Amino acid sequence: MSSASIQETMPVTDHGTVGSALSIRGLRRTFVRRDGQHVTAINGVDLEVAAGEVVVLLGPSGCGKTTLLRAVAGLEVPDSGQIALGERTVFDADGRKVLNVPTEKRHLSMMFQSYALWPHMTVFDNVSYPLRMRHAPRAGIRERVEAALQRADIAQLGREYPQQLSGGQQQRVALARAIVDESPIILFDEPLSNVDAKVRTELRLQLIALQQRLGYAGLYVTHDQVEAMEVGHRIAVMEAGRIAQIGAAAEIYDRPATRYVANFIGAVNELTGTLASVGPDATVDTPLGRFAVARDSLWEGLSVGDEVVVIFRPESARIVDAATTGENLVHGTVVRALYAGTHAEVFVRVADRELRVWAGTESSPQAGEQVAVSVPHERVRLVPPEGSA
Amino acid sequence: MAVVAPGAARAARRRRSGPPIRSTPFQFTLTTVSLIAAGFALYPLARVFFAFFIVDGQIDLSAFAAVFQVRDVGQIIVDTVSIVFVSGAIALVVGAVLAWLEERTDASLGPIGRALPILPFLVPPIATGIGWLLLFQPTVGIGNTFIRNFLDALGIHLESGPFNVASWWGLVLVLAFVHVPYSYMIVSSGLRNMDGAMEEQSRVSGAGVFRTLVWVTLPGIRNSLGSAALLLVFFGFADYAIPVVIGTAADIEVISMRVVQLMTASYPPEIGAAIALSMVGVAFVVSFWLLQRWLLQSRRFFAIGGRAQSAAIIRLGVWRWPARALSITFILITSFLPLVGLLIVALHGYWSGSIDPANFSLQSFEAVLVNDPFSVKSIQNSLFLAVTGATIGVIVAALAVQFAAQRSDRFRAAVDGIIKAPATVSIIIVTIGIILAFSGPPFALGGTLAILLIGYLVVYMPQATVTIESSVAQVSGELSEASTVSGASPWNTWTKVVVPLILPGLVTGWTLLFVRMVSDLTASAMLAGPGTSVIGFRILSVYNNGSYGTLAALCLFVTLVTTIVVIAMQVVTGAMNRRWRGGGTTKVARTARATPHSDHVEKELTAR
Repeated sequence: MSSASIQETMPVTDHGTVGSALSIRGLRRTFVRRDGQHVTAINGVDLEVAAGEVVVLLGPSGCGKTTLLRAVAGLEVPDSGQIALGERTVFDADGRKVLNVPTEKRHLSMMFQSYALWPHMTVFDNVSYPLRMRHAPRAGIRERVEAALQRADIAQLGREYPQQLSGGQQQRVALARAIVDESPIILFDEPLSNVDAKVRTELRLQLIALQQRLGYAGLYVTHDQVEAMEVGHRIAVMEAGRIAQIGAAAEIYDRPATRYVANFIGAVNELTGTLASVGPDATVDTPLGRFAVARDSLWEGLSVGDEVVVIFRPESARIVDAATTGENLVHGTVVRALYAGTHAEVFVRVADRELRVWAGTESSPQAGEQVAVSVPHERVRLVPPEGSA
Repeated sequence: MAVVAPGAARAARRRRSGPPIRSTPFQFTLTTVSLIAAGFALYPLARVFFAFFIVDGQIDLSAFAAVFQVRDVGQIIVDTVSIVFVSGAIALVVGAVLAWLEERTDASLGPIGRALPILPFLVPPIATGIGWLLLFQPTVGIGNTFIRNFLDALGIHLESGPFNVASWWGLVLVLAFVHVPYSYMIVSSGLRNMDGAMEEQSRVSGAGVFRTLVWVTLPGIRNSLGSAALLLVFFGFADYAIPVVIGTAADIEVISMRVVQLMTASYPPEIGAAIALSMVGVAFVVSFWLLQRWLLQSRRFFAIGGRAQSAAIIRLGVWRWPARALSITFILITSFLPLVGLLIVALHGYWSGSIDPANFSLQSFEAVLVNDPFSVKSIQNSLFLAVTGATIGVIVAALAVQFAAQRSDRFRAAVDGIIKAPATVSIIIVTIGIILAFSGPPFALGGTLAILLIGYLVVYMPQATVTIESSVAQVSGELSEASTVSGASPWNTWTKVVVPLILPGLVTGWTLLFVRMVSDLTASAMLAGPGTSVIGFRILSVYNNGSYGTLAALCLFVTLVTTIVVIAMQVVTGAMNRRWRGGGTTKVARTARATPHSDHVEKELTAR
């Protein structure tokens, strides 16, 4: 799949710093299950994280995102490939002898899903631990820990034990421990998945602000697309051990490269068809008629007659009067219209399928109404059908 | 201590294929200690195996014929089997009833019920056995005399009795009493793990308390009942303390008594016959185990769900207080009455039917602790061995558990299995193995304290290993990983994160080992000698030809030591847990989830 390759140029972040914080090349990891079956958790991943950049690994459980993160931490040993942190290669299975720098010598920080706070240590001892273990100058430890606690908004909790804190406070302790050592890169393993929705939003915003202020690079694993879009400068959508697509949130959302990516982030309408023309107006014949599609969604090697999938998002389409005619218009019957606060989710039956369209709550049609669905061609994109690559 | 993070299971699964194990001095220590421990466990068992099953390099069961040379072998086997199964059945029923009352009804016993599982650790079985004998020997039993005097006042005159503990039934009942805590423990944990909704559904569907019990509760805990029965049979064949006291008085001989006799009464010991006879017991246990497995697998009624809901409490109405009174009486009588008998005889200094507070003195205690050099030496030896053994055992077990937990490969699984193997064989057979392995050349440790120490460690360390293992399993893998990511070496991670977190488990393990070693009878009976006497050995020799005052004082002394140590342990681990849990237990439950202790050994020792 062409989209699986990495971006050639390094993006310039908010800080304008350019340079690599993490570089992964050709990483592969296969597990042998108890029944003898081989499971490929990471299947040839290349990834660059620039200094000061946060890259989110997004995907369903089992897609290999956590294995990839743990491989960077050294908690998992890949079968082949290379990992470099900054200028320093920490794993290289491609040379004659496998180089594998142990986790404790990789000098990185990690925030665990369970927080992994040590219950027998106070908050202060938890946060100072990385400094003590790395033999930081004794004199500066107290100051640095207090600064980290301050940044995580828990300056007053140093003497408490983790169990005396709320979930959100525990999360902040874990955050303080991750930033205290000023590691150039922090790994996040679904750090917000264990707190309730309100605290999660609050912490997410704080995490973003903190990252902008401290400028660390991050590799961030999540299965929550909203979190991914907000936290990450770039998102790497993972599928079965590979990166299906990597790019900024808007790029992934607006220009998904595959059906998988389109479906994983947001809702989507899909129509299988054949490419009818590739001229200035690219068109596709679908069971619901001919669709004009965005010209830039065509890929190299595509020719008229090829099977393709037409996709568009519910919010790209509009409900219009049944009498309307024009480009990319299909007629159908409203099956149901669900009120969703910010919009109405309208299901329109066209021939034997249902399209999802978001309508304004005030202009929402009623069930049974005859309507037309219109979608501008620049919002209609093509992706390859499943199985082809 | 139970800190389990939500991702623990996942992390634990992942650790199988975790980072490579580097050769550090710490790693070298882990591997070396584990291999040495496995060697000490395997070698004695192998010696027994080769001595018995291998003749001229061939597997051969002809050594089994030695069993026919044992005098009265038929009678011994018949007596043993009948006593084991009848006492086991009684212990199972009583334990299950007590457990049901405690877990499911409003007749629960409160602190007394909660203390039941730790009673076997407070009072050594030998003390219980001797206590019962002092109370209910037919002619001079203190309890019997007391009852006869009472009946005399009512105009009923008896020459002896009314009870006779020195009988087949006496042996059966005392064995059953001693084993009730074990069946209680297993059945009550089965009841706790069973989803109470099943019973509620039955009640809702119109079944009464009794029909629910028969059709839902009992089938639901059949696995627990099966394990309890198996454990009772295993203990029944292995038990030596109660038979040697009561069986001897009743002139009834069981397998364990004869095996010890074959090993100790003549020189050289009749090892072949001893092993052959113990194998008869093993054969019964294995057959019972196969039968139990077949019964439990053939019909599977319930798949018991993950997190069990507690069941609604059954109101017993008018039966509540009778039920409660009966169970409290049972527990008090079986645990404290024997101690009363011991105390009276120890204070009297001799054993007669009468109780005369005017003659009470502390002379027996003085004798045991100061004046009788053999007893004093035995107590010193036992305390030294128990403290040394428990300390070495806990350290070795902690290292071996760490070694086994590093990753799951066949090598580690094998080492782990070998270290635990002695727990699956009766103490008597393991001890015979220890004698075969270490008493003769090249080690020539016969008649030294060293062979006792090795014997205790091999026999009892598996119990500490299991306790520590369950502690380690409760520590989330992410807690160690977070330490590694923070830059800590494996040694630092172990000492600063793992060990502090499993400390309550280590304390429990130490206590378990100390109690077992200080009150050991079976291994001591065969491994100790006049020059290396220990408490258990001394109790046996005083029982055979000494003063009952001294005997009672010795038994009470051991009981006092074990009770103090167990209670101190409870206080210490309780304080540790409170400190970390802090005030916010509900928050702990949500975030760093606190789970109930899964391991039965811990349950034995920690009150709920």
